Parts: sequence; C-alpha cells; structure tokens
Amino acid sequence: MSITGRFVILTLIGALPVVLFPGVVSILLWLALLVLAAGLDLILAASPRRVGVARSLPESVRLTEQCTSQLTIRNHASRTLRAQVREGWQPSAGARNPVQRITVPAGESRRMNVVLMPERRGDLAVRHVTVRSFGPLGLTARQLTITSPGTLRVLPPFHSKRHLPSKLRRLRELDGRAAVQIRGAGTEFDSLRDYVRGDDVRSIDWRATARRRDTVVRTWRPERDRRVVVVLDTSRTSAARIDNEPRLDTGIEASLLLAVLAQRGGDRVDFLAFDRRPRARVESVAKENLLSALVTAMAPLEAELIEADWSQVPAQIRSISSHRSLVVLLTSLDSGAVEEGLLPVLPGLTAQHVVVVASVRDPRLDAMRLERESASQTFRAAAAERALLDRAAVTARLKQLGAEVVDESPHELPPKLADMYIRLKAAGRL
Amino acid sequence: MGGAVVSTRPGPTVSTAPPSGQRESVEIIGDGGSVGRSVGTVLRRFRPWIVLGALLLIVVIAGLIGAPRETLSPLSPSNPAPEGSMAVAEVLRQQGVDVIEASSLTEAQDALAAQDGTLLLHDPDGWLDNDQLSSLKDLSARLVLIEPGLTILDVLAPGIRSAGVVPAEAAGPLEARCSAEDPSTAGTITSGGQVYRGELTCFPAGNPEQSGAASGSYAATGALDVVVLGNGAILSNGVIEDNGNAALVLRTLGNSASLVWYQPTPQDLAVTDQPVNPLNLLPEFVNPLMLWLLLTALAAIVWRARRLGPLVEEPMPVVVRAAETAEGRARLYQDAGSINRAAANLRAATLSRIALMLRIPASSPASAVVEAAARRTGRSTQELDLLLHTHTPLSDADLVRWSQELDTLEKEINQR
Repeated sequence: MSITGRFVILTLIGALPVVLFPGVVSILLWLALLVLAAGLDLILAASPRRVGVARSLPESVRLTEQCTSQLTIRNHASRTLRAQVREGWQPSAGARNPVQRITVPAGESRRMNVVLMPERRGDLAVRHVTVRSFGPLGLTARQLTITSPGTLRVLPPFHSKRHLPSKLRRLRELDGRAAVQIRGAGTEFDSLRDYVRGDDVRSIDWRATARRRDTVVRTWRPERDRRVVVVLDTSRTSAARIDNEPRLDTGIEASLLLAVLAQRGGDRVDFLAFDRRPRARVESVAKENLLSALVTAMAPLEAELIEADWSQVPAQIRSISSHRSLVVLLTSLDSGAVEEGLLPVLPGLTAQHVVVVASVRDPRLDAMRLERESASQTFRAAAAERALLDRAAVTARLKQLGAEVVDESPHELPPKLADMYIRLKAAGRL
Repeated sequence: MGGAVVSTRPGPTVSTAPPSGQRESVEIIGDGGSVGRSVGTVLRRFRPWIVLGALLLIVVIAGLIGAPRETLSPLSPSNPAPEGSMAVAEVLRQQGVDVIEASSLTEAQDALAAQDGTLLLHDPDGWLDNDQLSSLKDLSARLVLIEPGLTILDVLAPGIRSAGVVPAEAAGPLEARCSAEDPSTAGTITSGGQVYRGELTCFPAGNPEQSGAASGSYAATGALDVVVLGNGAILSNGVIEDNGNAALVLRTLGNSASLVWYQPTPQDLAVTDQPVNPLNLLPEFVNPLMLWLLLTALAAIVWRARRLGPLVEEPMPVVVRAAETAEGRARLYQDAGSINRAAANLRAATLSRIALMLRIPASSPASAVVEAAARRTGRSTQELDLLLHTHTPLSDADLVRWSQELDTLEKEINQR
C-alpha cells in the first residue's frame, strides 16, 4: 500500500483542530479520522491482483529509432480501477513515459503506449509492471508489482549504409569493362558485342568477327559467387573505446557494409563472431534475408573479457568454406595480442585464402603525438610514437605474411574496408 | 505522469518496425499472491528493523516501569534509596501520624492551614526567601528544621545560632548530654553535618569537657516549638537504624498528629526575583502542534519514499579507453625520468616518417635520411645530423625543445 499527497494534506489540515482545541482529544480524534478514511479508501480500491497485463512489443528496433511498447491493462475486478501504472524497463531502453495514469472501468481494458528510445544495442529487458490502484477518495492506494518479463532486441544502427550507394556504383563500374583493364585470373568471359571506337583492339574476338560481318569484341565481367568470410573478434581487445565507440561496434558497422556490398556483388557472405568459441554465426542463406539475419545475429554481441583463441580460427573458417575465400579478420593491431595470437596462424590462412586484417586506428594517438608543449605532453607524445611504431611493425609483419591490412579511424574503417574489397575484386584476386 | 496515452483504439504508430513484427505476450493476472502473503513478505523484509524497534520499545517501557515514580532527592519521604527517608515516613504513618509530602510552598501552606501540625523544612539550597519563610512560621505550630542555613534561622528560629560544622575529630557517635526528653532517650546519634547553639543544645560535638557552652547537633527553643537537627543524615534510610537515630527522629517528628514534609525546589523561588521562563509564555497549543507537524512530516516522508515498483538494474558495458595504455606508458616514462627512451621513440618515429616523405626505404640508415633531408630543406648536413642523429637530450626542458624542433623539421619537409 501507499499514501498520496492528498493524505498528507489531510494530515496537515489536522493542525487546525489541534491549534483550536489543544490537547490529546483533538489529536486522537483526527488520527482516528485519518485511519478510518485511509482504511475505507483501501477497502474500496480495486484490487490490483485482479488486473491483467499483456504486452505487445515490436520484434526488433534499430538503434536511434523509436518504438512503442503497448500494454493492455484489463480490469477483472468489480470496481473501477484508477491507477498509476509503471512499466519497469531498464534505463538504457529510454522509456519516455513509463509512468502513466489510467482509468479502467470494471471488466474493460485500456491500452497504454510506452514510447521507447533505446540508447544501447543488444537485448533490452523489461521485468515487471507495477500497478498502484487508488481508492475513490484518493487518499491511499494498493500497490502490486506484476512480473511480466519481455525483451526488445535493439539492432545495430548501420550508419555506414550511407556509403553503400557510392560503393555499389563503383562495383557496377567493374561490370562490362574491357578485358585489358581488368584482365586477370579471376575475370570471367561475359559476352560478345559489337566493336565500338575506343575498345582495345586486343579484346577483339577474331573467330566471332570471322563468323560475322562486323568486328566483335569480348567483354568480361568480374568473377561471381566467390566466398567472403567475415570474422569479428569479440575478445577483450574489442571492448576498447575509440572515439566513444567500442571497437566491436565499429567492426559491426564495417562488416555490415562489406556484407551488403559483397552480396550485391554476387558473392556469398558468411559471418562469424569469435573469441574462444563462436558467439554468432550467419550462413550465406537466401539473399533477401542476409541483412536482417546479420543484424539480428549481431545485436546481442558483447565484448567478452577473455583472450581470443586464434588457433581455432582456421578450423572454424574451414567449416564455413572449404574453398578459397576472402577472409576478413576484424580485430585489433595491438602488438602483444597480435604477436601471440594471430601471427602464428596467419601463414596457414594466407596459404589457402586471401586475408584482410581490418583494425580501428585510434585518432587520439595521432593527436597525442603532436602535442609537445610541456614535459608531460612530450612524454605522452613519445609514448604515442612508441604505440604507433609498434603498430607499424605489426602491420609490416602482417603484410610480409601475405595479408592485406586496413588500419583506419572509426569513421573511415567501413568505407575503406569496402574499397579494399572492390580493389581485390577488380584485381581478380578473390 | 501527465500526458498519459490512454485509449481503446491504437494510437498513431511511431515504430518503424513492420507491424507484422509485433509480438503479443499472454495476459498475466496479478502476482499469484494474496494480501496476507505480501504483508508477510514486507514483515520478512523489514524483520531486522521490526526486531530492533521492538527491543527499543521494551527497553523504554522497562525503564519507565522500573523508574521510581517520585523524585530521588535526599531525605525525600518517597525515596527508598539509602539517602532517602522513606523508612522514617512509613514508620510514622504506621504510628498514625499523617505524613503529608508537600512539593511546593503553596501545598505546604495549604496542608498547614488544614491541620495544625509539625512542619519539617529541609532547604539546603536556600530556595525560600524571608517573606516565604515567615509565612510558614505563622502557619505552623511546631517546626523541625533540618540543617537550616542562616536565613532560615534568622526568620524561623531567632534564638538558635549556627556554630559551624561538626569537627572532624568527632568521629564516633555523639552523646546526648542534656536534660531534654527526646535526646536523652535517644542516647547517642551518628555524628556529622552542622552544629547549632540554642536555648537547649544537645549532642555536643568535640571535647566532652566543654559541654557547657558547647554547640550541638540538636538545638531547640525552650518551649521545644522549634527543633533544629544538625545532621540530616540521621533521617536517611541508610543510618536510621544506627545508634539512637531512630528514637530521636521518630520522637521529634511524631509529636503531633500530622507532619508536613516540605523540601523546597527551584520552582518555589519568588517570582519577582527571577526572569520569566520564555517557554511559559508560549501559547498552550504549541506543543501539540509540534507533535502534529511531526506526524505530518512522517506522512510526507512515507508518501515520497514509496517507490512505484522495484528498481530495474542496467547491465553496464565494459568501458576501456584505447589510449589508456599509451598514457600509462607516458606516465611511466615521466616517473622513471627515462628521457633517453622517450627521445629514442621520438627519433625513430620522426626518421621513419621523414624517410617515407622523402621516398627512401624505411630501413635505410639515419645518415642517408639526414643527407636526403639536407638536400630537401637546404639546411646544412651537420645541423640536421645533430638534430636527427647525435643529439641526446639530458633534461626535460631539453627534451621538449628538441622534440618541437623535430616537429618543425617534419612540417618543413612536408610542405616542400
């Protein structure tokens, strides 16, 4: 139970008789009045135990977008329910109006819309609904918390989709190019067409020209149906925040852009989130569902505070694709973690696949490097230089072992990774 | 709380999620409990506080019951402690004497006016002034003064004089040594307190040879209508049974049908002499009002403190700032004063960047980089060799200046 402000005011009014008739009698009389009124109000309040609660939630919502949790409050009691209802969302669900006043006549039901503006990716939980049922006098209320759990899956925002149109245009430009410009092991014969001025004479198909009266050239198109395997590192290094965004989230953005681009480019995309065991996995399925399957799989990913076990990664990739694939490893280039984890297994990977190591570069280090005003700033600059040198050394080792490296700031990583894919595809290295 | 969206019709949908994606949960009615059960839960949750409160209540009640109802002042007829005088009062009552305990001057005056009896006055602190004392003298037939001060003697017993305290050497019981009936019956009494000199003086203190003009623990007027007892302790429960204390006291006090036992308190002070207590000027309703406002405040606390349902916890993500390791390393450099290491880092980084800008292999020796830089900038080779290769800063200030020069050189090469 609980009391209301009206009850407090009624108590305050009791000061009047106490002043006018000082003594025990006036105090006791007013106390009795208060207790009587409160008790009566409690008895007459609709029982919150006879209140039914049903919730309707959207399946999922993208971060930064708004959604509504619809609560249906049904009053099974024989009295009208005047209540204050609170839906118990966790704070990061960003409930705008979780506490609402509602009046439900006996036997009817009312709907209550709670607007949610999620502030975090992942599964957001609602635990309970609390009903505070006021009596007809509005002095006291009966309160009950009804356990009614629910979850709302908040999908990654996919901000990097704004890069998609330009990257797709570049991808389409690869199509139908004259062979010489992109000739390589990976390009495939596409079709024959009439020669137009400007075409390379080396691409003239003389057999076809002999069969026909006109000069005919061969056209080529980029290879299709290659496999792209995106491996996202969810180990402790992915928890680091760069530009107020965890590495993991930047990695999610980058892998979403790459996946969508590769799918439009006609390749098959597989996704794996891994630290010591697979955290999420999306197979190359029906093409329309890829994006939604990806975001749904990525939504609950959290950085685990354990070291990644890279020795298992080759086996994991083999189980996804036994053919030559483009393997994109989204991880960090911190010298210690890479030297002990990734470097030993990299030769085995590069022997069979094309490997791209993508990592987020901390712009803070570049800023620290240039601040040299005071002694402590200079020492910081020296430390930043050391970190950058270590990074450069690791990058050089990776390139030596045959991997491509994309090392960019958080905003640049997704488009630069897409560029790397387009370049590899154009070069026919997939 | 305001702006509630309450409607039987679905409002305009704000969700961008497809409507088909709505998940409807089954209706849950109540929490499966009952009023009794939730009362039980609340009791269980607050059990430590309830137990604590109950203990406090028990202690308070026990204290109230155990405490004596009356004042604990010495020689009070309702004080059962060793320094009290309940024993004397009770014995007197059993013997048919009407012992009236007066707690104020008015009460004493009323009691004396009603029954013309003996007045016992014990005022060691001298609360009463001359006028008040003389009003008592007129009313009482017989006075027994316990250890009276000069003022009391002046007003009530002009014939009796104070003669100091009982000398320290008079340790043993005092003997009566006089002809009056009461003291001689008693024989001896416990020594202590004050001595007086009057028309009739008994129980002289000090040397027995000087008994003639001696001062004693018992003094009285010739008519025995004013008796002074110099040692109040002989009335106390603790020593009443010693020597002849009981005999003297009972005979002295039990003389008339009623005894008014009056011990003045500060409340008997003459009003004109004292500043008025400001609390007495407050209207009558102030104290009840305070109590009521306290109750109101409690109600307000209960109103605001009741939460609408339990808290929902937020699983907090790990926050690790990526540049933290570099900053930690910088502090290590600074605390250890490793200027050499810092300089080596700055030099290596600058050399590798200049090599990249000048399009020479990053692995080329420093001298090659110096020569290429000299060609590009037009500075002398010696100067650049000192800056890029041989100079080792020795102090923090030198390190700062040198690192800024490196930065300047880098920008210079970059611009050309």
